[in-house]
Amino acid sequence: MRSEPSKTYDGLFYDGESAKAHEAVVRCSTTVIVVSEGANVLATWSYADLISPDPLSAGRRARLTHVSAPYARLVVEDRGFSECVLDRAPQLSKRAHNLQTLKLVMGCMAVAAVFAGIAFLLLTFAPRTVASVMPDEWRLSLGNQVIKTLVGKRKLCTGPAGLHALEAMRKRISAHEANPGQFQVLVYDLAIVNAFALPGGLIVISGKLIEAASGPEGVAGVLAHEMGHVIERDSETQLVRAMGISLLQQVMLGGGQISDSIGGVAGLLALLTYTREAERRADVHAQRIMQATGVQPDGLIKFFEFVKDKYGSKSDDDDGGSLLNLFSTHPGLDERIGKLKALPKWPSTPVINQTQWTDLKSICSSGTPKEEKKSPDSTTNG
Amino acid sequence: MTNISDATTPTGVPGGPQPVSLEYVPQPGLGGLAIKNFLLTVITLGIYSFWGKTNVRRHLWSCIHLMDEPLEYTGTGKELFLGMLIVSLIIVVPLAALQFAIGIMFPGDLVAEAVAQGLVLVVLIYLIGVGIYRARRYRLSRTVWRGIRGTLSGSPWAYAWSNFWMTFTLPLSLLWTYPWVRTRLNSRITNEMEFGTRPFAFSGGAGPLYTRFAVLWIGGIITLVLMYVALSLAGLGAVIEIMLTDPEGLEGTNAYFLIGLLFIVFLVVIPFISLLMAMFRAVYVSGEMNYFAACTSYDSVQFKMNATTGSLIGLVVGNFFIVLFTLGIAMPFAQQRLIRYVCNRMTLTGVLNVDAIQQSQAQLDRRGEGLAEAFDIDAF
Repeated sequence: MRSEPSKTYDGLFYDGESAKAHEAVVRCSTTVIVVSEGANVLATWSYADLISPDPLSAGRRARLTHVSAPYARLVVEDRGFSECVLDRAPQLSKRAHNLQTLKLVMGCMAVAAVFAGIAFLLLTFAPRTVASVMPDEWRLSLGNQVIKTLVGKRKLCTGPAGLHALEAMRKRISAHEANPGQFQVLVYDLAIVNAFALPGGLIVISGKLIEAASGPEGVAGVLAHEMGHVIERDSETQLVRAMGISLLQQVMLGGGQISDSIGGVAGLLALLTYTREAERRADVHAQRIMQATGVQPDGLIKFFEFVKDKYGSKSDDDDGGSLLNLFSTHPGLDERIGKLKALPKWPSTPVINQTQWTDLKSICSSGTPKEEKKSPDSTTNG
Repeated sequence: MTNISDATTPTGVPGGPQPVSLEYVPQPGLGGLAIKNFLLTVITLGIYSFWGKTNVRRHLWSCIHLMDEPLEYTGTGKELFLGMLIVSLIIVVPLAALQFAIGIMFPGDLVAEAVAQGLVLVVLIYLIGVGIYRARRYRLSRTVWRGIRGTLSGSPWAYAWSNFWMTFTLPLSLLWTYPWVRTRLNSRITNEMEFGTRPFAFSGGAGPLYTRFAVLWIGGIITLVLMYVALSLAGLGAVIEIMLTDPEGLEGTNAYFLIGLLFIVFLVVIPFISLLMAMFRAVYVSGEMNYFAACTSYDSVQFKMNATTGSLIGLVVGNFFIVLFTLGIAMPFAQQRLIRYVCNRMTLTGVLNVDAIQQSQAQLDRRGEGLAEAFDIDAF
């Protein structure tokens, strides 16, 4: 103890009741600080509950308050006083203050980690749940909106004979599904060999894909794979996830710009590449569907081999990068071909007849410009 | 040491009125604080910022000496953090979710989208008023001088309603209601301000502001026209682009001339026009600051402000570059400049019966400024 227990100092005291300044005598005793004015005792403060808004340094002006009277202020200029207080109230020291800051920073980091964890869990698991409870009308209108963004000014193929053949194929391979009416297949005159599943059971195939297939079984196989995505609600899930990310960004940025709409979300399609797991699940569905409906996998194998020859077994981005590319995403074509080849043979019949196949191949080369304007949902699906 | 004897002398005459003074007394440590805040904010993914902001306020408040006794900021980072969190949960998330829901239910439906956006905008305009009022109340209640705190005695919702409908008069009047709106709102909030148990008072109409406002309005039109012309010139950039992407159309000297023109427009002409606009604004704002101060009193203390157009431009432009060149790290210095500007140019005249000021009995807000934070209402 550097100071004697009974030492007194001059100070100013504000009682927190009025703005009046009391010229006070402050006694720094062993257990308490006693503030008095003349014979009046204004405050008796214990050391343990002293508060200093700023860390107290020995030899500097002290400005104190107390838990029992949070608006009372005691100001003492005498250097000896701060030393005396620091000896008995170590919680006011710079060191204790730094420790407090360290604890606070650790706390903030923990909170940040918890937030990040919650966000991660929400974005990992919630989108699939939301997608599965979303009403069918919402899904369908989402899907139509995505189609608009996706196909741009490309033509919807409406050759009447082709549509007929397409419908026959759709009926055949969805015959054993729980809700065959949910699949709508549309052919667009896109510049690339591609197919994608969209919200609301919409499946878009490019005319080029039909041209590239050596037979109807190839197209049917692709269709079965996309039906797998529809059944799993993969595209809805991805869209909800993209919306969630955008929502999270807004919340984190303080809600300054709440202006994103579905148009912006549709722009996020670039992010819509399915995970490897989702692709595998869709492949499993495709196998199951082909088996149940007696469609040979050979056509699909041939088709995969054709794609592999033509485009190579690329793993990630390619020139069709902005679209959901059936072939550019994982798993690799070799793995998929291998899996199909390893399957045991099952009894099968042609998915559509030769005439229908010829019709289907010409689906994009006929049809009037008027029909082109038709809304996607009114074209197929009986 | 002298502080104490100065401040204590009058207490020898209990209840006696004392002359008032306001002073900015700089203290070291702001630079260290700015750097520490920046680093800790980064490693905590932004969460520390609320505590950092609080530390800066505590520093700046303590530099403001009223009758030789410093102000004290008693808010906490936790209060600001919780305020922000709650506003996020009850306002930002629902509004954003509403928009997403409409996006999903009526995708591509421009009318539905416009209706939703309009609805959100209306709610936001109302909430901005609530945010302004609550933030002011929070800061007043966290500002302590001689152990006494301040408050706002009115209702945030009532203030927000005034703010709301007055905002709509602005476009309808081509902004000519602006000085009136400013005066009415400022009058209202000042008259509801209290320090201890005593109110501030604001008396005065918008009339005297209209001369300077006319300068601002006409100046605004002039700068808009100039800006339009400058951007049309910059539109020549499109020509350049065509020339660059089509090399056969590129005729060397002409292209260089146009690129040079583009540089001049963006690096010289547009900053010059912006400065011109800042000048017109400063003409009005300095007048408004002085006028509002002159309308304000507390007890028998009269406020007086001596803001000038030139000094205000210096303050604003300086702060702009301080924040810009340090990516916001030096923000506390910009805030310091603003507070120092006001303290140095504000004079308080009259005497104050300090001993008669009693502690405010108003209930304390438990959390702070979430709305103001969400809408980025001011610099503090």
